[in-house]
Amino acid sequence: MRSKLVLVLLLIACFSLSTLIARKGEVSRSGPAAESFVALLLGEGRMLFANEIFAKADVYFHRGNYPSIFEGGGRPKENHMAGEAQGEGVVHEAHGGHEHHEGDGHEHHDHAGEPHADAIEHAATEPESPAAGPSDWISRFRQKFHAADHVHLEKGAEREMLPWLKLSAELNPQSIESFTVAAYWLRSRLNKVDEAEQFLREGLRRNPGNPELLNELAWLKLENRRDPAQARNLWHAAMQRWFDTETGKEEPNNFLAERILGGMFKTALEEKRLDEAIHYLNLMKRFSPNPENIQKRIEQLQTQPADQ
Amino acid sequence: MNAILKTENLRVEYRSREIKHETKVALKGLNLTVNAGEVFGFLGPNGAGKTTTMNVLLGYVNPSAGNAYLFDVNVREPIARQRIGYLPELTYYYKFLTAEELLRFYAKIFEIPAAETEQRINRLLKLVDLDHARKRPIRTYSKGMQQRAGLAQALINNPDLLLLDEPTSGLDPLGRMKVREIIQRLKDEGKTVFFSSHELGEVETVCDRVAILHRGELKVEGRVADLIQEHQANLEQIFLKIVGYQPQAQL
Amino acid sequence: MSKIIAVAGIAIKELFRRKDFYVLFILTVLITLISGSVRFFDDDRIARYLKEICLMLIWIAALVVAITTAARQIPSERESRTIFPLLAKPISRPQVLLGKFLGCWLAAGMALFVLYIFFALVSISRESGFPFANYVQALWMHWQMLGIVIALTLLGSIVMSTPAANVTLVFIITLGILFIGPFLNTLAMRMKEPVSSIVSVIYYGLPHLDFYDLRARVIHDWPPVAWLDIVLATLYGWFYTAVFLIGACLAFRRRPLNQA
Repeated sequence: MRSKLVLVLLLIACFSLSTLIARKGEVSRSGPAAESFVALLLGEGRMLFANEIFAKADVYFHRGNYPSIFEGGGRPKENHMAGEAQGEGVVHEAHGGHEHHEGDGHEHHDHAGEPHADAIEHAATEPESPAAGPSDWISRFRQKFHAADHVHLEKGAEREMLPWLKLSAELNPQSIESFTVAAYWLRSRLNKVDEAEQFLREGLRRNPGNPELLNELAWLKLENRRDPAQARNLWHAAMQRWFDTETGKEEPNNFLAERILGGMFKTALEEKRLDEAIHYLNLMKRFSPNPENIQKRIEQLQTQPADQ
Repeated sequence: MNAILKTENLRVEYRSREIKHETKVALKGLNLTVNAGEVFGFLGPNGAGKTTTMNVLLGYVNPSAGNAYLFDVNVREPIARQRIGYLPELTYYYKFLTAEELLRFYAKIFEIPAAETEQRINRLLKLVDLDHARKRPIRTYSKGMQQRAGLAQALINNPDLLLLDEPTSGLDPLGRMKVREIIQRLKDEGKTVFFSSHELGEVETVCDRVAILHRGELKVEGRVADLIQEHQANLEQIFLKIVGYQPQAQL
Repeated sequence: MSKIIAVAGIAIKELFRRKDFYVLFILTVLITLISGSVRFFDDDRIARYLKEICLMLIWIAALVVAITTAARQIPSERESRTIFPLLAKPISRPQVLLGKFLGCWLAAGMALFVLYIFFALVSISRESGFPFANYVQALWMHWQMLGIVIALTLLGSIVMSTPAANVTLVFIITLGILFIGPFLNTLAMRMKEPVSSIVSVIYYGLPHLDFYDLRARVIHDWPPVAWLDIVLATLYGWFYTAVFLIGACLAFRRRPLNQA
């Protein structure tokens, strides 16, 4: 038994070493810096793991209660922890607070664009609707041992998701969501603004000019650094990049465009530059599935006094 | 005389694993009796059925027909083995145990009280000359030491019947002498010894009665002295005659 | 009972005199410590990922120890011929088998205890609280699960020709039950007859080992399970353990042991 274990360990070490040597050789020809040890160990197969690791972070967000692929409802189409991180609040506000945007309908937002303090409590008291399937005595008995209630991490416990988000980003640096979601939780709930900014910049190094990353960085500058000027510059860059990358696609990422313009709108509104704010709303109408709500908001702004 | 060991029409059949599923008859209605206090030699050529008989007596194999008894208890009952000691031909014991631990383990199987167990262990290890190696694992023992450890475990319960399967096989002359002395000592104590062996000279010296098995059948049984007188030959010659050995014509 | 305990003692001695457990323990410790040495975003209070890694390693190590130990009990006794002097004593085959089971189960329990102590130390090093009831429940339930697996492995060791085949099959069955077993009934609903009925029968018939997996509760700091439910799950596990052991005893009694 011992000799077999030693042999297995030796094989793993040889495999890792050969991957490292091969990768160094490749990098010396191609240029970019070598990736982490885990990425080197897994090779191209790391892409397979990256998605699962990202979903793992959502499992942690739900404190272990997560449907399996075998269950009737399947895995949630929208990742809750990512949904909250995608700043739906600002979009909601731009719609005049009339309806939720598409995506995760789970969180509730007030007009300030911040989630309700009791939204998570609400989620905690309402059990997840059971996946379609039988409710036999075995399943009912099983519920007593497993995490069955639908709750989210809160009060600083959100840090527990971070290792999986970091690992997901390591395994697949092109997974933008890993960077943006981690940055959101770092800056908004864990008071780690420096780390969030550093992580976003690392994402930008791996994905130069990515509009989602620029958007998230802009929000960081506005909400945490209180630097609306820099935020605005970043949003401008993000919008430009959006046009460069998304124009011409069959299904461009209009939601991202909305969020970028929403940020610019919010900044303009807070600085009482009403005309500019209305200009951004007009731009948003192009991307929104509910332009009539935006039009109502425009009219609302046009009628309100300039000093409000 | 009390029959310590008795078989009644003992028949053992083995089904062959080959395609035609032929049945091999290892024992054909064996009737055997061993009385208390005697040293009984169980002889026969290879394949005669000696090991099969041992297997039945020890409960390893169930007979196809007939019965076997130890101390009037059917051998199918584990309690039939409470008063026996068994020394197999090939001595294999738990390599990771020391001789002391091995004896202690078997003593617990016999439900011997702890205090008495320790006394017996000390006495037996001295008897078989393993006292100096009692704390060493058995895997460090030589073959002779393992054989002696086997003898000690066969005697741990102070058996009234000792079953020995080729007890001197693989032993040097000193070891054989030791075994012979132990057998004689047990006989003097009124114990019964039942052993199979190919060492006919030894059997002739030690045994009171013998039985010769050939092809699953009991060919002859009786006192050694009576057989020698009846056939006017030594035990080896009687044995060869029974099994039908024909010397090759000289070239 | 004393004979069963005597045989159990031998099985326990064997496990701890072999190197398997120590190697697995050291590997568990090493991998956990290496994983714990990584800092994420300059936060040293992140604990759950480490608890998960540690518990996963414990589960792997415990399963390996339990299955490999149980799988070799009877076959190695036969191969090394130690079964013969043992059965020449006044002990029945069921007693030998029960002794082997008890020994493997107690040995697995001791190994688990050591592993969970290490796990508790890892948790305490990162978190301020120590949910004692949770840990006790997790350890107890894990031990009960190993009892079922050990009994199944012993049954396999009697009916299968080689220990390797037995180990492989038991691992596949165990992992299958853990990962797919809970959802068999859901899958059955999507299947056509008669496959649907067969799968349903399997679902209700197999031992649901996932009951005993309290890792999520321990990792994510859920409150302890109600003690009545723990008792019911224990009885459920003992039922299956008894079923497998009875099957093993019946199979072992019929098996001839030839010294040829």
